[in-house]
Amino acid sequence: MNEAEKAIKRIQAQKGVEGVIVVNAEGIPIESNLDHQHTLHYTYNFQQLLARTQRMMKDLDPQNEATLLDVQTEKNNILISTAKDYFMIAIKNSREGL
Amino acid sequence: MSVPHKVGIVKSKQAPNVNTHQKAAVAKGVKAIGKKKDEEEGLDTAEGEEWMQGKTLVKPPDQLDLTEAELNEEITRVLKASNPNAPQNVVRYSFKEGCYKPIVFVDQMAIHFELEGNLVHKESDEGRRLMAKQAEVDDGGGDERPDNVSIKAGKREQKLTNQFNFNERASQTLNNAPRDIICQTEPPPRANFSATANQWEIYDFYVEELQRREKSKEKHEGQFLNKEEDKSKKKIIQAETQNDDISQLAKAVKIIERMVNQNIFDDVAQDFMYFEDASDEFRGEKGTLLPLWTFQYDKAKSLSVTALCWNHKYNDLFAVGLGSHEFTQQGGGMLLFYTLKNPSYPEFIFNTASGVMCLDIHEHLSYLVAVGLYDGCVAVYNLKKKTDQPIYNSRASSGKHTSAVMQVKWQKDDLDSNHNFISVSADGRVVSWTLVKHELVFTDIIKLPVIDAIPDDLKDVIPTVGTSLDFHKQKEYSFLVGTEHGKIHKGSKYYSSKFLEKYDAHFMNVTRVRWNPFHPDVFISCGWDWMVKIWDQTMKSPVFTFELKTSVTDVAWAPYSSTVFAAVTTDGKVHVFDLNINKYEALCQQKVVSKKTKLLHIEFNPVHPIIIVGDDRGHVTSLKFSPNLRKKPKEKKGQDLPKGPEVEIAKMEQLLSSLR
Repeated sequence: MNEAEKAIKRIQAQKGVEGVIVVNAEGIPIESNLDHQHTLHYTYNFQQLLARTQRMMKDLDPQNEATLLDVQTEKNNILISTAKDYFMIAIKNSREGL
Repeated sequence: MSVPHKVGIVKSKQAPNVNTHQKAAVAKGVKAIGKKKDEEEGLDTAEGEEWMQGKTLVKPPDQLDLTEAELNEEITRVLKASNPNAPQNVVRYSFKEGCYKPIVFVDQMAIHFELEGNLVHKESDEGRRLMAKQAEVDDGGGDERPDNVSIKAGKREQKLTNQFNFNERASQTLNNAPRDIICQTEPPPRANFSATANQWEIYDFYVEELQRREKSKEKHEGQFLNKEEDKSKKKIIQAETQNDDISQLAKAVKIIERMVNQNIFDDVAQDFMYFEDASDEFRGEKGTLLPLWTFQYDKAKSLSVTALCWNHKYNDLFAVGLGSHEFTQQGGGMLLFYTLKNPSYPEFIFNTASGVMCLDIHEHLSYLVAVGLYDGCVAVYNLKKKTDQPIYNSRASSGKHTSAVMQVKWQKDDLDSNHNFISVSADGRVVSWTLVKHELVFTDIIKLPVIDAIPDDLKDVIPTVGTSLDFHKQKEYSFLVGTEHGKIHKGSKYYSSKFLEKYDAHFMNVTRVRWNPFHPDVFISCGWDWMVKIWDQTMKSPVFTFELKTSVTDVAWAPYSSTVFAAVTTDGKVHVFDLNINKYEALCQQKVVSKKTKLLHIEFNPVHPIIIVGDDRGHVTSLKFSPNLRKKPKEKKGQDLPKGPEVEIAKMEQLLSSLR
């Protein structure tokens, strides 16, 4: 297994992490530890958000681009990180301390 | 047929009774015949005249009326054999003479009648042929088969063909029905390609290209350095170029991992940056250490931390060497690199064959790590390479230490700009290793002097174990070596025969010697005899002595102040001293690990006010200094506090002078 896969497994094993979704260039989730429906739901919604964010960043500053998006909600904390064509969603419970 | 000409004089009588034969009614012919008749009549006149007189004379209307005399005139008529119709004055152009010449002899033949005949002589060739053909035709007239004819043609004489009994046979060969065969090749696969080309894309592409080129340059250089590793590198290069789905995400995953960790340990991160213990105000001089992250690796549970080193370039990266100090418990070792950004998992993991005893990260090239192992090998790792193996290993080299390597330190590049480092080991030798192309070249610097207690004949056998080594910050040739016997030797790289100075430091093992980062004459040492001593190199006895309740395993100067240092002991406590504030007591003596865990190493972060301590469980704990421990001398209002090494030196000097 290569490094990236190992790292994904580690993140999934971390305390407080509910789910990790890896989405490929075509918008299809290739790895996830949530159930299928939820996966698709999250993917669809966050893909749009991510695309919007990227466009916005390019509009503001063409040399810059967004690499990480952190959404803090009441129940949990969602991190979206982008690579070349792929992006990755990590959903974490927001807990006070650990 | 030509009428033969007779040339003769023909007498003729122009008699009225010329024409009585009305058959030849031609005027001339009448006359001619009349002439003949006259001749015949001349012979048989008697009979003719009698016949003639029977008829009446008829005169043609156009007959000439001539007189008697004229009638009786004798006209001679000549018969010639010449053709009156033949041309008489034919002229031909003669090329020889270049003029027209009359042709004298002209063909006088007059053809009156011509008829082509088809009679052939029997005996002639043609005649025979025709006769043969005729015979065939009579025989084979009934059959109409063409092959028959061909067969018989050879047997008999050929029949002549004529338009009446000639047969011609024709045949047509069988023509195959024409067919159209069409072949169509498969069209080349098509794909629709669309892309946008705008300035962002162009810029991104150029940046990538630059990075790729730099990578390939490095690979190129790396290949020159170590040919043995070519095969493994090829595999690595292949792996890099493979378009693995997941591996593209590596960077993103890393970010997420760090973020997740940061969010989980959010409070710790906040403390690290911002927390200042407010209760310090009430404590007077004392301070506390705030525990931050704990770094542990599950595979390193049985190992103890044997070395710690911060990376100078990346201030959040530090290296942990894992092995075992115990002689009996020797197994493998590990070299781990942690970053403060990801406390749950090390960034780099290297497994070593034997326990790691010491390590050092190069000051400038922070990817070069020198490691000393328990079995006496020294190895150099290159963090930039993705391989597990060290790029240099002294395993095979001849100058390898015969015993555990206790300390390694990088030096400045030598004259050939090769990297080199120095190691001290339990076999008593101080050896300099130079990285030359593919291998480590060793140079003995000095051998630790054997103590007098050992009898002479065993002097060569039982070495003096060197336990610690440190090089002066400013004068790189000057170094200190601590030994197992409690002595500290000061040496110089230029004198290989003996040491410059010897200090009786401790009664037991000297675990650490370190030069003061600012003051050029001061160094600190600690040992198993519970003591921490501060020395001025010019003086034989220590300037300061501190007794801590248990064996001191490590001591370190703070990088920001010349008077602050911290020590760790086997009872799990960290002691922090600031000589500027309190010359006799520690500002903080805090237990940071659970019971029975010994603290083995301590290191200050070059930038942040945190320390890491390693224990014998393989854990590394990071602690933050509370404000009291970091106090700078109070400035008078309005006066700018001068910073910099001079101040530190001055501080120390002040202290020392008070004691001399």
